[in-house]
Amino acid sequence: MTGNVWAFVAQGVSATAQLTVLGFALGAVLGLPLVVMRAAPVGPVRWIGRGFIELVRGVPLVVWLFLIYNGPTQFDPRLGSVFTSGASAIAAIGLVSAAHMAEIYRGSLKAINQSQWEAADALGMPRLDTATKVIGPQMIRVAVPASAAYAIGLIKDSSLASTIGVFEITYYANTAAGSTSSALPFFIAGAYYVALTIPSAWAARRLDNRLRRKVAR
Amino acid sequence: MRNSPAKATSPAIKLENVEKRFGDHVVLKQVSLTVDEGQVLALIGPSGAGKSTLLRCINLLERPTAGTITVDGVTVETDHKVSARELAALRSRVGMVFQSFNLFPHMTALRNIALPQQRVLGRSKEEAEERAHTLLKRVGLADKALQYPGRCSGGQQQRIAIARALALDPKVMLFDEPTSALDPELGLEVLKVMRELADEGMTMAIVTHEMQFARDVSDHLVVMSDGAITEEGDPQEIFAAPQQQRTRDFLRAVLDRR
Repeated sequence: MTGNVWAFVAQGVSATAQLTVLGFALGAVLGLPLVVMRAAPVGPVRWIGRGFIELVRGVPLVVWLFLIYNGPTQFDPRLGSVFTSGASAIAAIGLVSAAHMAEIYRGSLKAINQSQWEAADALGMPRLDTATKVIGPQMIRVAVPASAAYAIGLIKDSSLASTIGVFEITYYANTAAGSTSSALPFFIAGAYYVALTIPSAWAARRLDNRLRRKVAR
Repeated sequence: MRNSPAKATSPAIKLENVEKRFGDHVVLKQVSLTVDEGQVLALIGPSGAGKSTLLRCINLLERPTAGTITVDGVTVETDHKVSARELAALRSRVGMVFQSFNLFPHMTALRNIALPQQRVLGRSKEEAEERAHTLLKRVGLADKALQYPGRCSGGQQQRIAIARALALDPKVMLFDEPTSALDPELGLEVLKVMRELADEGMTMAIVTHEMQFARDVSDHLVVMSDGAITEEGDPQEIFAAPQQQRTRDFLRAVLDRR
């Protein structure tokens, strides 16, 4: 029986990994325009960026999950085929990640010396080139440790997707626990989460060390 | 002095009544100066005199509140809004070397020198990297092409920064305390490169605390204090017999130190 439970809960591992990877990727990409807005010289653009980030971060992920999963179908039930539980979960995790990643990028941006802009200006580099070739890559490198910590947190936060019926680790564990009246499936779920987070943390450290060696000042 | 009398000299840099103020605080008071083509100008003076600010006004890293700046025939009136095209025209003629090098830490020496050529002058990658190799050899760092700045000494970084600026074929080179962040021996290798540049006829404006260098290499010396030029002229003459009390005080303070 125990072996069956391990195999049963394991069915959710791939969904957990997908939620984390896709949600984080969405957030890492969408965080870029957000941080640009957040740092924009034009007041209204900056306020919209900031307002969006504060709003998204101010609402718990579970609430976003329910809102995105249930919200659209209130207006048109046919939208249910678009906002499936999996798609809604990725959208919600992506949204919340975008706001968090924008804040992580903003911190990294602050860590980059103003003189880098100045050097590029003195060379006559167009501002867009400076942003994409000089500042952007440095910002992303500085952001690696914080982003990795956030992504590892997402592996665990993605368990909230079980509440809208995504078949991931926690969902299977909960189902198994219900039918066996035992807490064992949750121990197993915990083991799977640890098995996912430890190698991720190790990979993140390796990546960071590699980048650091190159750009050590 | 390096200019032969037969060579017609025209001003490569001309500043007219350049003023910079932050609110009520006046950093530069109506400063005017001229650097002829092929000349080396040294700017010296106590900290806070406005030397670096003046230098940074030449390529508009610092926006003067008033005055006119001309570099190689491009004139910018600074009291109205400077257009992007004016700015680009001016900066394409001016190379700058900073006290803290300001290399791009995530790129190799080669890419540091090649990227601006590709982006600013539209050179191909091959052409830009070939030129970068040539310049690295010229500053004595042929073997550092694939090294990241963080792996280079300060003196090497500064020479890479000089190569990066030269790669854009500037008419004028500005040096903002290029050796102040370096150990004396490392400073020497940078000064050597600068001296070679001067000998090749590059027009240069140098803010420096290296008095010996200013005396030996510059054609024209400007002494600043409190946002204005206190004294200017032939470096040998000023070092031998400064006319102004302010200059005498400054020179005594820096020269007695040794």
